[in-house]
Amino acid sequence: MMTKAATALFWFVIISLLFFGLWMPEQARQEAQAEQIAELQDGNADLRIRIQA
Amino acid sequence: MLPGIRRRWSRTIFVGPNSDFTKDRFDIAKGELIDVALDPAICLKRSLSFPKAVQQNLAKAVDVSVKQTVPENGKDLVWRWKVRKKTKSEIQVEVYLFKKADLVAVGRSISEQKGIVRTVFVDGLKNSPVLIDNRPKSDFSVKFWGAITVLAALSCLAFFAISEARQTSELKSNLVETVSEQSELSERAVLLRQKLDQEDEAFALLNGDLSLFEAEYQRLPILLELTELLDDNVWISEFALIGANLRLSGFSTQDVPEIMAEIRALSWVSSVSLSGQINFDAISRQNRFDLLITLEAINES
Repeated sequence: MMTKAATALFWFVIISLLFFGLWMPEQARQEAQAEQIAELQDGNADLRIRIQA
Repeated sequence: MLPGIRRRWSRTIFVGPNSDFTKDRFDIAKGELIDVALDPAICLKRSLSFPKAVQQNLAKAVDVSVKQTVPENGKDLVWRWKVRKKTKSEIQVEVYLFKKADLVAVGRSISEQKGIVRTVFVDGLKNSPVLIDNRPKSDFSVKFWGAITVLAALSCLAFFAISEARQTSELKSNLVETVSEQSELSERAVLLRQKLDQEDEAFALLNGDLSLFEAEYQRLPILLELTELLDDNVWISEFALIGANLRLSGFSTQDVPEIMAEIRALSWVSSVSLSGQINFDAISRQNRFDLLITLEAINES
C-alpha cells in the first residue's frame, strides 16, 4: 500500500507531466501559430493594398 | 467531505479475554462502522506441524488437518492460521478457532448498539482473511464517490484536452486559409507584374518605332512641311519614304515643274526628279506626276 508521501509524489509527477509535457508545449504551439497567422494576415493586407494600387 | 464519506471511516473495537461482547457496551454512535479485532487469547488455539514438502499447498493441508481434528469436520467453526516457525524439515502452524455462533453474537451485539459491523478479524493476523467481511456493502459509498471523483477529474481533463485540441485545429485551419490566401494574392501579384512588364515591353516597342520614325530624316517634320507647302490644287495618291528616297505620286492642276521647284526649295531636299512622264487627264483636267525626291541627311544636333 502506498504511503501518503508516495501518493502525493505520484500525483505531483503525473500533474507535472501533464502540465509541462502536454499543456505548455501545446500553448507554445498555439501562440506560435497565432503569431504566424497575424504576420501572414499583415503581409496579405499589405499585398492586397499594393495589388489594388 | 463528499457525501457518504466520514472523517473517521470506521472504529476498531478490541475484544480481549476479559471482555464479554454480548454484554459489554462500547459507546457506539448510531450507524457507526465498527471493525472488531478479536484477541487471539479468546479463541481456541491448536498447533500443527507439516512437512516442508506441503509448503505449496499449505492452506489446503491446514484445512484438511483442522477438519480431521475437530467435531463434525468443523461445520460450526471458523479458523484462521499463521506460520509460527519454519525449520529445514517442517513447518509449524498455529491455528485459531472460533465458533460461528460467537461471531454472529458479536454482530448482533454491535447491531443492538446501533452500530454496523464492517469487519471482524483476528488481531495480529494481518495476512489472513478477515472472519466477517461486510466491506463491499459498508464501503460502497467510498468506492462510489471515489469513482465519481475520478470520473469528474477525467471529464475535466478530457474537456480541457478537447477544447485545446479544437483551438489548435481552428488555428491550423486558419493558418492553411491564410497561407492559401497569400499564395492566391502572390499569383495575382505575379500576373499583374507580368501584365505591367508586357505593357512596358509594348511601350518600349512603340517608343522604338517612334524613335525609328524620327530617326535619320525626321519624317514628321517632312510630312508637316509638305502638307503646308502643297495647297488644295495638289492631291497626293502615293507617299513612300524609304531610307533617303521619297516617292511622291499625285494629281495637280498646277504646273508640275512649279511644284518641283517649290519642293526643291525645302531645306531637307537634296534633289527632285520626275520618275516618269507627266500625264494630262482630259476628263479631270489634272496632271498626273511621279516624283523621286532625294533627302538630305539631317543632323541630330
